[in-house]
Amino acid sequence: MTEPLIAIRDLHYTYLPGTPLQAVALRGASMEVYAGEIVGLIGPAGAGKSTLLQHCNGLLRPTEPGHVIVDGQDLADPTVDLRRLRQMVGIVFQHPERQLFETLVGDDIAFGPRQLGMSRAEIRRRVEWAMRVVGLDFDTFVDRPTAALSGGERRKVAIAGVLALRPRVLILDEASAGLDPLTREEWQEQVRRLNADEGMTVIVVSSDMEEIAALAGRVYVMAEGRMVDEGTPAEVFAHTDLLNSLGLGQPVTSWVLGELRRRGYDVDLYAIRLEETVEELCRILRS
Amino acid sequence: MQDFALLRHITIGQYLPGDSFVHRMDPRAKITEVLLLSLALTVNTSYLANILLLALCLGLIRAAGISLRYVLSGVRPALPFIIALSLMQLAFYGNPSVTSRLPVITFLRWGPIFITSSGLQLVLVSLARFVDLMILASILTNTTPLAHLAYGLEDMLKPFGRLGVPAQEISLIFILALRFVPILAEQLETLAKAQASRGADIGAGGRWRFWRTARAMLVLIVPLFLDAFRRAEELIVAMEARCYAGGRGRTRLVQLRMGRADGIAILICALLAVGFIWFRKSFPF
Amino acid sequence: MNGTDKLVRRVVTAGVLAAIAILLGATRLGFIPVPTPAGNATIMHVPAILGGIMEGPAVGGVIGLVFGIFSFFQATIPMFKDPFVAILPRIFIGITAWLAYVALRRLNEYLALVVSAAVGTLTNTVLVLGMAVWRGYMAPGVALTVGITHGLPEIVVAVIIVVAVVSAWKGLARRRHARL
Repeated sequence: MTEPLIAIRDLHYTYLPGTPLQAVALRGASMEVYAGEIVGLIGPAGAGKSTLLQHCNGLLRPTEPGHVIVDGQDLADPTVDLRRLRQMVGIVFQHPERQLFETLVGDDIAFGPRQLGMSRAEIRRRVEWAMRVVGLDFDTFVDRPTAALSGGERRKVAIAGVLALRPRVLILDEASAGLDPLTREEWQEQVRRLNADEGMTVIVVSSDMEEIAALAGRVYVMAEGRMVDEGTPAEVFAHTDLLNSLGLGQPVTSWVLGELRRRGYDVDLYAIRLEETVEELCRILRS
Repeated sequence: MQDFALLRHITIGQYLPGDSFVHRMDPRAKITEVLLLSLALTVNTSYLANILLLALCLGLIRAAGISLRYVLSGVRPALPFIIALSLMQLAFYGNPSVTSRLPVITFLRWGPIFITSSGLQLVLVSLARFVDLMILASILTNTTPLAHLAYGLEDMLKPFGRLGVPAQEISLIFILALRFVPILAEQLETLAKAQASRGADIGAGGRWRFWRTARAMLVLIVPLFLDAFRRAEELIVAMEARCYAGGRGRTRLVQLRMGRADGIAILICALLAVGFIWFRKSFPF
Repeated sequence: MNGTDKLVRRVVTAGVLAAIAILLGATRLGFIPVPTPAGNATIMHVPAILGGIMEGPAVGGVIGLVFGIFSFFQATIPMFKDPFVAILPRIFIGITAWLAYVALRRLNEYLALVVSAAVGTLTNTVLVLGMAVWRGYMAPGVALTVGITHGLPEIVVAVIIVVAVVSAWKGLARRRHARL
């Protein structure tokens, strides 16, 4: 049994403690992520998903009971090398295109590697690779002004900026919000490739249940600062009542299967991949 | 990072709800009175005038139900600086023009040091004036919601509209600014986290070297401005779509009404202010 | 519709930039520690400069006014609790920046940005300190020293920011290629 790459145990967190603006965000949340996985995290707004994940790269430090252990290091230790940590765990925030600050595309993507003090050659290699992964042709885009890009292109630049750090763990906090369906599918394919080819561990937060079902090997459901469910997407999305009570949706396939089951049809609730659902439907129709 | 969580909640204009007559006064009356009294303050350098004005201000803040300690609470961190500056003023600036029938006494003159009784007067008067202005500012911001102040200003500037002063536009600019501050603050917080995640040196305390800090700051400041411009573009389109065509002829949901008490208060203030300004050179000491 | 197009743009730009000025003042982002005994250089005047450059003297002036009013209310030292020192000079920041910009932009856009940022900052420093001296808060010698120790770093920082922001927004690249 291997050790998880990221282990969060019974984490508590309060924003602005001791002030009138105090707000409890985490009430004993636990999560384990193993190297090479894609883990999904879903939950209603305000559940604490972002708060939880921001502990993983040291943006937030555990101040109350609870442990965050990344690659064997306990992050409550004040001597943790934050720079190295942030190189290992990269976070892409929602609307990442808002973080662009350089005039030229290449400069912005190179910011991360430059901050880490890499050699010029290495920086260039990283930028080339990152741009390739997100689908921006190097020669076309590297010297282009960011002001001349479309919204989707700017987002790709921003994501490339995080990828250029070559993190071992990539956290996507609603990174695909606002993308059109086609771009979203391309993006999902890129994530899969990053995971399969580069061995990047990925944690995905999304309100698009289809996306979670398509990408994640395991899913955590979070509400009010702690985990309320865990399992494979098929398992988690079969818990219709829980999902409804939290105001979360399901992938269409799960919903269809659930409705059929309620009407007395004996379908496999876990057949949530499109081909599997279609097979189940055919099976029902044939009998 | 905690300071950035604080950003989301910054409130500008600390309105303290209350029911004093100061609270209930029309914002236009308050603005006028504060302006009049400020004017009286700035031109009076005699001891007597400032004692009277200080008493007046203290009475006002008492009437508003706000503690003096609260008004001056922001001064505490700056206190050493104020004291140092006052001492320097006292030591080197022996020749200011102040109103006084008393003879000018030179306490000490040695090299650049030049301490006189008029220098002392200026320092003391400045301090009193400072407290008065803190109080007057507090009366405006602590007893009136900022939006009402903006409306008051708008109404007051409207008559100048005929002279080309765009009163409603300026008022709208104030309100827009207030509305955008929390939005941009939240954006700033996300930015700080995103850039820190990319390896930027944010919130790292540490060695404050000028160039490093300036560079690090760019990573936050530039996208903040760009984001503001983008939001501005969206708002421009939205306003045009709603046929915003400037302030002419626009009416407002919140209408301010002046009562008799307001009128009387303004009158009293005006008389006091005129009195203080006219007789500013006539105070005996 | 022509007149109103410009009007909406000016009102909104002024509002948004004024908001940044307030935000900079309310957080430590507006202050850059300077390695001199004087303490901090500020960048709160930069939105007024940008407003003047991008939308003209009226917008720059209003932003400066808001900056001044806010700094007046926020001030806890006697010098800045005086509207003549805190508010009046600030109105001119955006106006002088605009003047410098339009004078030079046909020559060279970069030069225009650099000079107008410098001029705007100088306006702030000179007028504020000048007022402080005239109103008796500071001896002229002290004002001069503060002006130089604060003013010079402020100019440098303002120039950097103004050039960076306008370049990124308009896509002006001084270097044709990214530094790779």
